Amino acid sequence: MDEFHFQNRRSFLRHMLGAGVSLYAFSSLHSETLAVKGISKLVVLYTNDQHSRIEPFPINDPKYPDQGGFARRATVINKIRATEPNVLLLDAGDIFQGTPYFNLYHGEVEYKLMSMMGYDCTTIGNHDFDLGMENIVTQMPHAKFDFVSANYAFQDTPLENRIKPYKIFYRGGLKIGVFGLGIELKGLVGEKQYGNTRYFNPVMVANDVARTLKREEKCDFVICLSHLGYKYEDRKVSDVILSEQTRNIDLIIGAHTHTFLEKPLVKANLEQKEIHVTQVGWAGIWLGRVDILFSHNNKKNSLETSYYKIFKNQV
Amino acid sequence: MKFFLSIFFPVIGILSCARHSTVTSLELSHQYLANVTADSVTNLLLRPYKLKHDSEMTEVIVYSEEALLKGQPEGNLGNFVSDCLLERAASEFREKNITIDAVLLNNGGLRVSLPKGEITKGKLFELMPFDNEMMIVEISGKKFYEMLCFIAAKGGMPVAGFRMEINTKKKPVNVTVNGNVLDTNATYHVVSSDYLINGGDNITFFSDGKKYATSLFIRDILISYCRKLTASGKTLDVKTDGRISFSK
Repeated sequence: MDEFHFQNRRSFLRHMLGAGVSLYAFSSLHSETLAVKGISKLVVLYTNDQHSRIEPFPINDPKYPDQGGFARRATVINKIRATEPNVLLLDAGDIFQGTPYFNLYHGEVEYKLMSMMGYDCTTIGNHDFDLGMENIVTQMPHAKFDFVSANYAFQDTPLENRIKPYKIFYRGGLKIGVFGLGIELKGLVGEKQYGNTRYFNPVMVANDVARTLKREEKCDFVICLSHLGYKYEDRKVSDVILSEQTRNIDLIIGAHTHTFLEKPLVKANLEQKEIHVTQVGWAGIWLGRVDILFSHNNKKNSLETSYYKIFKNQV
Repeated sequence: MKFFLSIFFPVIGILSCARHSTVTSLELSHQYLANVTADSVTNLLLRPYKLKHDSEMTEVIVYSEEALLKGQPEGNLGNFVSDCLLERAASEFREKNITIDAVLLNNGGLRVSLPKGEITKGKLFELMPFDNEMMIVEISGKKFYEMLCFIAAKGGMPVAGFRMEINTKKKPVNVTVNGNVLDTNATYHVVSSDYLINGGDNITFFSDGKKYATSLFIRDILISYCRKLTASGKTLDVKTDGRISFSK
């Protein structure tokens, strides 16, 4: 059987790990090795804007020939899980809409396959509303993962009490807070589709929720699943604006603009602390990965980002 | 065969302004994974869905001479969809004595490119996955000009029925509608999707116009157009024709 493997790479962690292991990237370091040195490692894997792209693009596709595919991504994820005990698998919304699989099955296939891959959490993107909120409720029994959204209020809608603002995950002694943010629906999604859903200012809500997660819940790491979009020419709220105007968020996993970020954006937040913004295009062509190392006092020490580009035959 | 390629970028950035935060070094890698086999358990779960999907969606409905791509100020993909709607709307409204003047669509609504060669029914579902209906709206010449300004500000959108240039100030100039200059005192009938006519993409110039529903899905119009073309022994051959260009 044809196999792929992840290659070891040099690392820049001399200050943490000493010369002995500095020749390897920490994605290749075993968790046991790190534990001995009082270091915990978290591996965050993520997608955004999957848009029902269950099967790879066909070979004759002009832009993404033979790329992506849920079953191939499952192989990659399984491979990573085989060596990494502390994996968090996330998605930043727009799971629905884009291939006939959605027209035929209304999201059942997407949720079932994602559950099989072990997704932990997603947020609600604008296209997830496309067949109405009732449809999300209908498909939810197929989803063995959580839905988070902090700035949509779903009172008096079919989604009432079904979506939490945030969820806390425990991995390898670490406490990780994950919350969701959605884009303004008016003018983007039909009123029939979003009904009584109310939208609140993402920056305000994000500051509130992130403070709760970091200061009250004492999370070691706070992740925002944002469906706001990476950046706009005008002052429309985006991940870039969010990163500048908030505190207590460590990582923004973005979506909506289908941005293939060649490298994550590293910014200083409101209190001059570092925040990373990432996004992996759309359609599951890339799988994003962030490895985070925490020293013994669970202080975040280092991040490493990888983008896996999933092909069948050609590079 | 094993195939693996890794492009490696060293340290990207260390925040110099961080005073109290821990210093983070960021290591970045792009990994091209080839020959990733499909996970068999996932495929097993998918199989029943795929069988029905394939039986309905893999039918080849037209052959295209060229790949159809989105583009600005103009793309042949946008021209294909817009021209289809113009033709269908003209025939639907002929007996009502309504002349269709123009088509406006949005690039965001065209979800994939179409390949050169065989195009399946499923591919047209991917291009236009939404159950959007074709709609007609009657607007004043002034609102029509607002629409042109909107198109120009966006740097071009999929259109049919008129030609325009976008000048360096992102304004519409040298406009002709069906060969005539724009008359701001006239009324115009514009074809679009129910999404845009009902205010999608923050469009306001359609809001107070008289609206005509058609109960026809845009996707179905495209599918039947392609089927007819094939039945008459023709292939799809859509080119850009300079309907929207930037002023020189």
